[in-house]
Amino acid sequence: MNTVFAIAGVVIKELYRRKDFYVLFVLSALITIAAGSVNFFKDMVMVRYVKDICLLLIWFSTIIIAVITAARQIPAEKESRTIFPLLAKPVSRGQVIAGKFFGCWLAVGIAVLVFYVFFILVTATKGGDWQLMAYAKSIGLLWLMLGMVIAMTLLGSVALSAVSSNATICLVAIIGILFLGEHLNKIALRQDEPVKSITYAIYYVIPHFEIFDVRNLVVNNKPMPSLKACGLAAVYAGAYATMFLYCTWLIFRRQRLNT
Amino acid sequence: MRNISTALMAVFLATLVFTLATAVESEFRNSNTTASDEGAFTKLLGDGRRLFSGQSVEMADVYLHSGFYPSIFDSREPAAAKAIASGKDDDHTHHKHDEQGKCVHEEDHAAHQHDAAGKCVSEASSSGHVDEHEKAMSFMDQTLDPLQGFIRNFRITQHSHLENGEEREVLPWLKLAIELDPQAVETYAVTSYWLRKNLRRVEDARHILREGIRNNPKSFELLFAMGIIYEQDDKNDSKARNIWLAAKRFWEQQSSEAKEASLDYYGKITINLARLESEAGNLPLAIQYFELTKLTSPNSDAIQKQIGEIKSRMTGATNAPAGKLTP
Repeated sequence: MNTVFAIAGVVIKELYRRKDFYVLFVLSALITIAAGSVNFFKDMVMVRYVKDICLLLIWFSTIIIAVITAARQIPAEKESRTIFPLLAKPVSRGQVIAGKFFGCWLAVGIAVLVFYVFFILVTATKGGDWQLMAYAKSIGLLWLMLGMVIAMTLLGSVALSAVSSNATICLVAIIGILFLGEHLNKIALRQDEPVKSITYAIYYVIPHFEIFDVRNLVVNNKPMPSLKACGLAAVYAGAYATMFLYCTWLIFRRQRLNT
Repeated sequence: MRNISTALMAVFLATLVFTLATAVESEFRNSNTTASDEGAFTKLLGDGRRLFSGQSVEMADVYLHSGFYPSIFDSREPAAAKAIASGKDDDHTHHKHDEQGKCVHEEDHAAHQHDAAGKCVSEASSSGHVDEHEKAMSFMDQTLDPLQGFIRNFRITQHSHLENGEEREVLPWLKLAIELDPQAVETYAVTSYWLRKNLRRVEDARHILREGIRNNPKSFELLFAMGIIYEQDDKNDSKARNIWLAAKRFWEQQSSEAKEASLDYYGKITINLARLESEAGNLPLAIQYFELTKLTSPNSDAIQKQIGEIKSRMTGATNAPAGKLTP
């Protein structure tokens, strides 16, 4: 386990050495502050649109960070040939994958926390309520979703040759699922066989990232899902992440490392 | 020596750039008189910005429903009116009714049409609209799909509207919609409605309508809404009359197809003018306006009844005994 956390520690250090997080954070902050500083009708407290924009930027930025960070982990090790000394130590390929996953997940978790601190400050400045329990659940659900995203991207990084193609395919798949995933059953109902059955099968097979999207509840100050529902969501995310990581290991364990 | 010449060159270039900038800027300003009036969206998107205006109004509608809103994949009536726009002409809830549902006259009562029994015509259509709206928003029915059932734990599942002043949250999107499409007359009317009726910000409502009239000088819809503000909030009947007369004139200048499509507005304008003249004692003029309303009204019997009442008032006034002569 120490080996896994040692590899994870290196990944976390890599996140704060690279510029991706800073660029996305500054961009999100600038857009949110610009939107929040617009005075539509003086003296009126309007906070929902700022929350909406800020949460959208947080989701967008953290997904980008998660995909980019996870996509380059194993290819970068292979390209710089640091994978050989790493595996020469008593480290198995499974531990490398687990370490990379936990490293990316923890690093992205830190990024999510920083983004949310900014979000809470902006909301409070605009006169919004302190819904700390709601924010905690929202952070937790986003982090769980990013775990699935990272596991899926790691699988892509061993299955596809180039970092860019893996990142692009993963981003298209994630955005597609976020927009369409929940509605695939409705789309299936309008199709003829065999498209109907195929669409239904896709609906049940894909990881439903959109489940974890509770932005609408946070923006509209609605009650958050119960702890039981959040727990079930955690099990759901854990199951998919494990499946993706297992598939990654299956491919990676016999993969030739010479590029 | 070489360093000095490099520094001098840099100073020379900086001076040249500064001089050119001051010269070109004034020339540019003279040749583009409209550029400074354009908003950021016009500069960024050009005329393409209009495409996003409807989306912005829809966002306002989503906010009004506290996030409970059908997606493009949910079955909903495409023709179903947005709740955000449904109230803009409806002054019905803001005046009193007796036990039979008849209107009880109030000073700020915006005239609207009644049936022969004196009941508000808009009441039937209003309750019909509420039913229609509830039907349109019942897109999230019982599901047997276990995954869908699980997903609903993370969704808003109850239909509610913003209230207690929280309606202000829709305003940024409506303002954005106006910025995106300054020719969308309905957006100004909707924005002014929410500002005036729900948030009691009459001056802001007037400002929005003025902006709308400036961008759409022949809009009878906006002139009608402005007349309502003059009549109900300012109690300035003469200004309201002038504005409504202008609205009537612009309505009449339209093509016959456009008139057909906006007959209800003509009815609203003429019935308000009729009531104004009736209250001012200009009874023959009031009858004229009621006659015009009758042409467009689905309840011509009720209008005829009001004409009859005015005629009887006129006859009563003519037959009344003369008052005592004062020296």
